[in-house]
Amino acid sequence: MLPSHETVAVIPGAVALHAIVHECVEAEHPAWGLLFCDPFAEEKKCAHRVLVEAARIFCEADIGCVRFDYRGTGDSPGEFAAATPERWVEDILAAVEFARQHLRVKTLGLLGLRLGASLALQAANAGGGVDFLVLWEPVINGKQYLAQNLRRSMIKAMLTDDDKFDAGNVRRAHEQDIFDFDGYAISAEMRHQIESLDLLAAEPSFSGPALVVNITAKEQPGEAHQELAEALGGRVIAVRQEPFWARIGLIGAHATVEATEIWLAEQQASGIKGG
Amino acid sequence: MAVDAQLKDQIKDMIVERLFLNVAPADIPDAANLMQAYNIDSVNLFEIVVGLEEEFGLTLEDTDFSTETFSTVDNIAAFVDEKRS
Repeated sequence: MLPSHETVAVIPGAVALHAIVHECVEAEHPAWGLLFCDPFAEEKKCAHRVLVEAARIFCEADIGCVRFDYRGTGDSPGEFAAATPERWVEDILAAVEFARQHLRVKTLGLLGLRLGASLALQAANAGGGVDFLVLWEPVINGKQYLAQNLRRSMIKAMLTDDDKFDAGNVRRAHEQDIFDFDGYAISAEMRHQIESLDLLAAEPSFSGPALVVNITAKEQPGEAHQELAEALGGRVIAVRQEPFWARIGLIGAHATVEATEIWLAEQQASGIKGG
Repeated sequence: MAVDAQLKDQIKDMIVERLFLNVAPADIPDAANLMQAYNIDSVNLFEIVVGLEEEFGLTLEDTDFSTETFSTVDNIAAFVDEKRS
């Protein structure tokens, strides 16, 4: 038997969002809940299985979970071309309200991966009734995120057709008003908003417990992750694990999930107040 | 120009660590084709590029991207050596 009873739901709001609610089988009304904030584009596809498994594992620990699709992505309606990170933060805020009511939990946190972690922090800063944050390998700097995507595109083009490969062509394609980001057409507005993202630029207004997880080949967390955790007054840990959001078929994220479970148990024991 | 063995060892350490390879760094032959020997794909190669920038202090230009550059430890070491000089 699955540890969670999973139902499809619709989150009401400006756009009705598609959601999956993981209700805990063992605890009819868990005290704690987690709302998952997905990463973007190909990273969302690659991480899907890991996030589903993570929700089930958290349910085993009596933490109800909600996963949802931002507008214009997955099974949620809306035009992808019209979507922006600002709109997706609005979606998170709508989903927070929904998750709190639907799971009937007193304490609700956000668990975000990559760009989803960055958006989760923005939603929490917006005062969205978020009690705690779990940020898995957040995108700390939007310009670097886009630059890394350009690198990936260059490497893919290089490996696909080395004879005809022209790095200048790849760069020029990335500099178009609308450009291809892992197969997704990114609008100028979306690019602008992603480029503006800098989690270290201002003091976060969110003051609840926060866990920053640097998923890395290294034993120690990186400087930027440490800075972010410090700004949040939270904890940073390094989890040595392959980047599961970059690999289709890599479904294991046991170390990351386990480290998060331990932190959540500590927070539950410390009795943070929700709502 | 000969590239010192220490640099090659550092590169092997970086590759094994970042790619989570189940092989001892010293067992990677200097001239082995990495793509073929270790099934290196675009995700792996991206990790190597990031590793070169973060751990060896390089900044890669568009013109630095070629499969030849990243095909063997020998070539990567020569590339690092050249960029540093």
